[in-house]
Amino acid sequence: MVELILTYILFLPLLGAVLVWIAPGEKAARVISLITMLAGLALGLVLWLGFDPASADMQFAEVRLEWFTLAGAPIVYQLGVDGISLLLVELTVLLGPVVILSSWSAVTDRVKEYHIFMLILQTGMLGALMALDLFLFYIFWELMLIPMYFLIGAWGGPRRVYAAIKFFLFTMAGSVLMLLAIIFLAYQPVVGSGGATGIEGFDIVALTANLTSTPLKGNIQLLLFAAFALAFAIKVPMFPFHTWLPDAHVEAPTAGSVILAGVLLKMGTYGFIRFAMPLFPYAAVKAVPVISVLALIGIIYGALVSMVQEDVKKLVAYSSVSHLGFVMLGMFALTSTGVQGSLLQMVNHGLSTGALFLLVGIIYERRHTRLISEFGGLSKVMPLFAVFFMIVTLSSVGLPGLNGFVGEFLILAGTFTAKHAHSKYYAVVAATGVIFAACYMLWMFQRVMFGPITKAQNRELKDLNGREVLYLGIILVFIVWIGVYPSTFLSRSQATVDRFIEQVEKGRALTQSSIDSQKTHAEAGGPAGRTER
Amino acid sequence: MISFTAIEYWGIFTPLLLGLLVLGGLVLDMSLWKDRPRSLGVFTLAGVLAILFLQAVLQTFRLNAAAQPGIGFGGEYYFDMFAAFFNYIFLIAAAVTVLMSLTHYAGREDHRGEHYLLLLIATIGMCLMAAANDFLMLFLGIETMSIPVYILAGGERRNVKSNEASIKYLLLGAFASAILLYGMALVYGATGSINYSDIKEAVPGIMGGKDVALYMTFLFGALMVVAGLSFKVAAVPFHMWTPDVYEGAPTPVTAYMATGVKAAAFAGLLRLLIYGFTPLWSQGTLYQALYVMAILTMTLGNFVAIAQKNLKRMLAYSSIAHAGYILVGLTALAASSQYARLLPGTAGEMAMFSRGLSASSAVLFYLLGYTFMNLGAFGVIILVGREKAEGDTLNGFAGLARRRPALAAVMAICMFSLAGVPPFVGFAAKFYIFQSAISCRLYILAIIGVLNSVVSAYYYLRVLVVMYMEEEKVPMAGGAPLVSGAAAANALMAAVVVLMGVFPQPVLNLIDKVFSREMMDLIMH
Repeated sequence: MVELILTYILFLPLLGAVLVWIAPGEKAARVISLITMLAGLALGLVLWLGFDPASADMQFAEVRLEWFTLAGAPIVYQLGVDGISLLLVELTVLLGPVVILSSWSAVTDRVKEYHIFMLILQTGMLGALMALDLFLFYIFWELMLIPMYFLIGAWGGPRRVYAAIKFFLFTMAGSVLMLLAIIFLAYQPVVGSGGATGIEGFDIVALTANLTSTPLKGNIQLLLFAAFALAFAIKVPMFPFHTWLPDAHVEAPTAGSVILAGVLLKMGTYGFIRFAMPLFPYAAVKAVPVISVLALIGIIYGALVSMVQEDVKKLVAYSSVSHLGFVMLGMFALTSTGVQGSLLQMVNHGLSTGALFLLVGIIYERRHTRLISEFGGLSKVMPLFAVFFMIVTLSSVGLPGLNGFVGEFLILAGTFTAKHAHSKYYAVVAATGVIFAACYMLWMFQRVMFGPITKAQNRELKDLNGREVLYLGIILVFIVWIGVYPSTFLSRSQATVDRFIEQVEKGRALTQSSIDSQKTHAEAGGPAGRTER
Repeated sequence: MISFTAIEYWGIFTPLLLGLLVLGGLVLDMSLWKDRPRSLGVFTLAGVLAILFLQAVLQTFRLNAAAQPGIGFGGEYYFDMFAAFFNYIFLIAAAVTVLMSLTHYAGREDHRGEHYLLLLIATIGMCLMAAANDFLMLFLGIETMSIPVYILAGGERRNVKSNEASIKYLLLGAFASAILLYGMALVYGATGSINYSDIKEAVPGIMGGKDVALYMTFLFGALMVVAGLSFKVAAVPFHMWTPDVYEGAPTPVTAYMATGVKAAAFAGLLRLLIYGFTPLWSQGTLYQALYVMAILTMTLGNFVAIAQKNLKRMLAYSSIAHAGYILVGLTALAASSQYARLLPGTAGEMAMFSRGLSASSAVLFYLLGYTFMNLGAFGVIILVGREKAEGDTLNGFAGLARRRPALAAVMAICMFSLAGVPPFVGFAAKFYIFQSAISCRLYILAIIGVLNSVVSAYYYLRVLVVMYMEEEKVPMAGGAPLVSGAAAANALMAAVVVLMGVFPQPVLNLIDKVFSREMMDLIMH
């Protein structure tokens, strides 16, 4: 049973989708989806308890099914989790029931289809996080697009069609070049033991090990890294590829926004840490200045743009650009502290921003507007809502004691102590982003919640009901837990992160030395290492 | 008295039975049945399915046992797994087209029995093209295929557009045939033979010889033959007829042209490249011609498709674009010859062989997958066309998902597959094509290809937008429920598009048999 747990987690939502399809009515569709997601959460708990924090290897990866062979390369169905993916998988299964609950009364049109797409999306995200085969990963990576496209396009706001197409085309444009890079990489010739020649193949674990001990040539690494990085940077999204995000977020239905912010964006950062960096370590280190500066621009730019938004949802959307900048900065600090912080911040952002979108959705459902100017003094009529909103706002701002602080602190500390040039300046500039965050979030909170009630309609607003308290409460528990005792989560990823940094450093050093030796032997013309590439 | 050998009987098994079916149909059509066209359609469908089944059975028992492929009729006709594979495509396309025609023409006064017989005759021509091993057979096949299709395109006699399509296709088709014939004549003049194997033997002498005029004659002729076939494939710059003919022709015929005719033309081209023009691969001109044609075809097809409001016209440009992707595979095939020079001795030949093999296999896989997704898409257009005015425009499709969710789902699957999104077969096919391009170091071509598929996603997605995200604009005419053969065929096509994308191994195994050791020998010697 435990060997197959990842397979269960992966296909349970798909099974749920089939059941919803044949379910008799709308109510049944909702209940089935909720039960499926809750079962997924339960399996996630089993996974969490069964996970061995001391090991840096892929776990629960016993199942290996040859799927098909294309042009000599076997494509294998193989799943696994390590410290890096575990946290994100848990985040995904946690948000599953939350989004179903959140759309209980918000979605009334084509309920069945809505839930089917939600469940397929869940499978796509989990598959991309757990796949141990590059081809399999790519399938799930693209599979996520289809349901999200429909969720935005069919259940979204007024400009939903534009937003949906933009979302789809941006993501696809990035990923097709990654596809070519994957093909190029997988069909690279490799000299195995005993002089037997083969190809690299799609196995992620083997690829990572191979490319760490015998890295590709430097300039090839740079090209392939660029192709991977473009796909992931669009997904994160990093400045200047972020323009699809505000559109998609604003137009998407609440649950879509939650999933988009909570998990889909993390696919980009996950892609960097799982693929782009360990496979092309030399290029990753070379790219540190570029990525860091873009991350900094994202942090400051996102914050500044948030400040002037009139629409709460748009404000939260732009704040994502800022927060994800932190994640990228910490990851490319290439220190244990920085990467750990960045991993934790991925989860934090999923929880805090997810909760913010839920809260915005709740208020939108009651008032059918999200303009800040339409509100004011809500804390008087909706005290419970105000409490939740405040805690989440503070978590997003980075108040000590809540989750945001831990992540940002680790990232800043990790960046400050990083080995690369100017890292201290990066940390200093990024720290100003924290202040900006306080500005736009608290200012927005003040305008929405405090002051006199200016609009008559706002006097009649109902406070949170039990269902809403329930799903917000789930998130709140983790917001406080991570803020108070982050070790529960950090300890799970420590071993994997340590090895990740070791791998990148080793791969970089090997590439560098082969480049150096080639420079010295340039005239001798002796092809060193893998000149065949 | 002409006598056939056993192997020749086996070889012409499929076209022969199709011919008998035509004769049977002629007799039936003259007998006094009620609702004759419809009965004839059902008869044809049953016949084609029976032939499909028989071929599958006999193939399994015979060709697996005797690995030796049959060359018959004085070396004109080559019956092997390659031909058999394409026969499957033709028969499937024909069967689905018959089903679609039954729905499309149901109750119309221009429903004629000839429609089905002409369809069968065209299929015979296709089978001949896939098996042709010399220019004569190739030309016979092309004409046997084309002339019925010219007539079929004008099947809606009272529709001006249909008439225009027929005339246009006939005139430009005749023009292409002339180019093809002229090219064949030049090649014959240079090599002294119209047989592929003889040409292949003669070419190195011509290429290595001192007679430049002879060499140029041959090269020019070879390129004209390729150009003539490119017309049927609808590759840029030989594509001008496609949009008008696809839009004007009755939709089942359009579907047949986009799948069967295209596959047949590619079969002819591929066979010619592998079995006849092999020495030309390394020469450069052919490779460059294919390279440029691939880029132009993909790019023009996709960009012009964006502007289309009529779905048949959009699919016409989309079919041009897909011809471009397939041409990428053919370019990779030609480019694989560089490995014979790059690496010494057997290693080079092995490298060339494995790359050429994967390129040809990719083309076959693509053609099969493309057949299914295109037939599915056209099937939906026919069914919507039965229920609504403007059924073949984006307006007509608006709001379809609410009224006919299953139909919209089939269309969505086909559109995603055509755009190359996993897990559908279009993705696996594109992956295979671009894999072969990259393994032959055609990086720029591959990059242009994948960027093109992003462009194509835009117009395929627009169909989804109108179906799922807009309200109905044109009211439904008939309220009759959609339980017809065409609907079943649609569901089947969608299922195959999903299954072949998720489990491609059986098809890959079949293609492995197509290019067996025997092809390796042919290429290398």
